[in-house]
Amino acid sequence: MNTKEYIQSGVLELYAAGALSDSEAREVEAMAAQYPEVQAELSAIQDALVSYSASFKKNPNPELRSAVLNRIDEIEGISSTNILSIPEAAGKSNTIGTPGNNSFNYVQKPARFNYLMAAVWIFLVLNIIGNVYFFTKLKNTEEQMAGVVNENNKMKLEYEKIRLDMDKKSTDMKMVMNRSNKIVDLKGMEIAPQSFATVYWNPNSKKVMLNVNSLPMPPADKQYQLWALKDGKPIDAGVFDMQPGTGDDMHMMPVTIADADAFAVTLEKKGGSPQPTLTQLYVMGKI
Amino acid sequence: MKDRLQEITEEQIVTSLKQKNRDAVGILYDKYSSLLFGIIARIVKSDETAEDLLQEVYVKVWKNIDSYDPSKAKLITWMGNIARNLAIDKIRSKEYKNSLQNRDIEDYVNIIEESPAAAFNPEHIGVKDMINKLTPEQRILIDMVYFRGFTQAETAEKLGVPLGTVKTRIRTAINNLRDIYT
Repeated sequence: MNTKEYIQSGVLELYAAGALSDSEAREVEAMAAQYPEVQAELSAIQDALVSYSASFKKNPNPELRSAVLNRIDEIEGISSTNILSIPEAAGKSNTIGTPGNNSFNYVQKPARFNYLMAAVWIFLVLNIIGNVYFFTKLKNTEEQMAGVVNENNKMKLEYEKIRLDMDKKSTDMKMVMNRSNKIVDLKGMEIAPQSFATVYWNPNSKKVMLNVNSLPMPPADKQYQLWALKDGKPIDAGVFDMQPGTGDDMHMMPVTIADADAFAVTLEKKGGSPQPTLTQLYVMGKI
Repeated sequence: MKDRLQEITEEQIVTSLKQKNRDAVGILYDKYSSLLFGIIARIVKSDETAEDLLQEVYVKVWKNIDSYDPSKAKLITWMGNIARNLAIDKIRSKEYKNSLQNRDIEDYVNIIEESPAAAFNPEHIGVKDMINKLTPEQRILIDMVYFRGFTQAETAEKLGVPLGTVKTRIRTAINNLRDIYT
């Protein structure tokens, strides 16, 4: 092609003034890219038009300068790689999806697929390990839980026992603390001089309580029996068991004694005797 | 201030821009914002829209400086084209067309003649001469294609002249402009 003719055809001026259709504009761009003299002519035309535009100079709002610089800072702060492709000077065509871009995508695809597969496998393996771990943990927890429930039941029983004990103790206490009580010290006789017991007798309520401070453990077929004595005559005040090792030997005797001037404890056959066996007199005390 | 700006060569500005030196944008702003704003405002006919677009011009320059080829065009020419393309795209967009009713060519002639910038621009020596070198007819022609974005065919139709005539007249008008600058 004769470039001189092309230049003189006026198409470059139309292009520079923006009066060509998109397809015509692309032809001009191709020509300018191929022939430097066409490019030079085009540049001169464009310069003239921009110079002409200078006659319409207008000052924008003074605040716009900092707005522009802020935009630049924003772009740099958020993303410095996001570069839009715009056409060359005076270009009208959009160059989206150049061959270069496409081939880049195709190369990347299998690699991304492999990464995805690897990620899936890693996820599965971690998942299985996690399941085993948590299952074992759950088992342990269940065992511990059973132990705790068992312990809890034991504690409940213990508590119940202590509560009953406490009730008895507070009843005993009320009884012992009663100010109208007669407190009788029963001292050891010859058969067991170390023995000692205390009787709390309330003449108003006629109730009798015995505290065994110290008595020898009786044989399995024998039981101690308490007696009230009035004018030398013995009155049965009930049998009682020894509770070894508890230190708790308070006995609310299941009888009422209307009158007495002494108390005594003898060792009798199991269930007690109608009359005391005086050879087995352990402790005795007068009111 | 003005002297300092003129001391910096275009080459230095381009190099700074390629090195992502933010200050270069400030220098470019001081140098060219009024020219670019003039172009955009004349096309979109709204200062507010023009200011938005002027920002976009500098953003595009910042992002695309690597595609600028100094052997093909002056920096201001490259920027001027970016500004014009953005503005033309804007007025061709549907929303913009709806918001602004099209004016007749007759109205448009009045705008050119009334425009104070066209008559006086104290900062630009020889502007009046330059404009006077163009006949009113040529001025309308250049405004229609350059500032209103009409194609050759649309211009021919609006003016009621053959396609070839539009081509010839534009070439003559631009040759007149070039005379002033060479």
